[in-house]
Amino acid sequence: MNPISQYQSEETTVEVETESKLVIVCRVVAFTLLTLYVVLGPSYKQVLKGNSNVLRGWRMYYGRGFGVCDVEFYIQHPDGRIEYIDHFKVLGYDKLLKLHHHSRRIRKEKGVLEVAERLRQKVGNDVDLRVNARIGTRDGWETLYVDKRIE
Amino acid sequence: MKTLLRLLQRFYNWGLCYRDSTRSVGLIRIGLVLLIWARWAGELILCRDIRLSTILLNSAFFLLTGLMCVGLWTRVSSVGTAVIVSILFNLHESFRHNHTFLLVMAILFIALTPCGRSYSLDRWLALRRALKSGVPPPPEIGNLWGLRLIAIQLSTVYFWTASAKLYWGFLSGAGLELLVYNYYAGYDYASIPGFSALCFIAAITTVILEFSLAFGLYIPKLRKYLMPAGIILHILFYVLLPIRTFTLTMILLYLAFIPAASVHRFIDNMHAGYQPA
Repeated sequence: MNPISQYQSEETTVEVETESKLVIVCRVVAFTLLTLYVVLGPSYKQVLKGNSNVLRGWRMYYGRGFGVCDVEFYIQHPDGRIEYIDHFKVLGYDKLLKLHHHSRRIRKEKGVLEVAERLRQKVGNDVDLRVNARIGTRDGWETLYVDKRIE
Repeated sequence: MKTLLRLLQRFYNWGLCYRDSTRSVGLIRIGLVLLIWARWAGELILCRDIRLSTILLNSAFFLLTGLMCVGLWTRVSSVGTAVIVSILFNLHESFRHNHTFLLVMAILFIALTPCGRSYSLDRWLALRRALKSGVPPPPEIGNLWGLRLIAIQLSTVYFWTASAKLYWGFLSGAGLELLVYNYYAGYDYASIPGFSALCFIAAITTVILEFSLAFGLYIPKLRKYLMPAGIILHILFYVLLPIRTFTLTMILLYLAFIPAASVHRFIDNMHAGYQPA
């Protein structure tokens, strides 16, 4: 007999006999309630769209990235040539990469226009600066700007 | 009807009649305290808020978690810890996250087990008493219904997180692209060939794996493949996203799926060849 089964046989004899019916009933009730809470609790938030601190959902990182923008700046030359601008580089590439992600990302229309304004200051007012931008939503990427001229 | 009753009987036996080695719950007990300290202790040190009520509450946190960690008066200290962490979770808005909720639930469930019967001062004291009175050492065996609740909790986490990803925005890979743009902004990812395809594959794989983990960890034949896959998935989350204690908590709680007797035997085998100097 290995040590575990030896312990098991000893302990089973001792404890099962001493466990009262009340303890067993309480355990059954607690187990059932906790199981229901754990299994079905998240459905309140995730299926019924309720809001509660007690019945919590398990949506991990849901909504992170909604509103974040993917942008493409470029200069439209008079001869029709297009020159793409790496805005990260123009706006201080090396420094930017060291920053917290809150400072690096571009969020929403307002963020795109802010970056556009800073770029405009860098490249000057004489050039035809334009942007293509898409924004992150629940359904994926949605177009924000197509060939928008930055004034 | 008979089938239903038989299923209920099986579920009852599985959940409430699980008597086995307490080494798993002993290890989880210690791990959970270390994790809750790693997550909360820095914010609960007494100088942070010197109102008397807060000092008393935070002192109780340190006292009870400390006792739970070393396993002294473990039944009381672990239940006390479960109560205190539940209060703190509801009191501090900054503590209310999914990963801390999982910690709180796991502490509550482990407090429902005789987690002090192994790797604890309680165990050491019991062994000393047994030695003095010349009786055999007390067995490291107990009812591990709390461990079953932890297993159910883990399955639920996987099931609901996978369910929450069942919309086209995520399944198309765009959801992961957004995460990359959100946390790793600074490069033009759209210009990288295959970036969208990679995100699509990763999204589908994540959902399939999470659903598999929700149910497959109960099946021994699948467990040996799913557990390493789950650990790799969690390590990736840990390295790539600011996920804090969630990964380590999940990996620690995987012990709930490994038969406690196997854990006991594994530890015995590890010490088998040891000869004291």
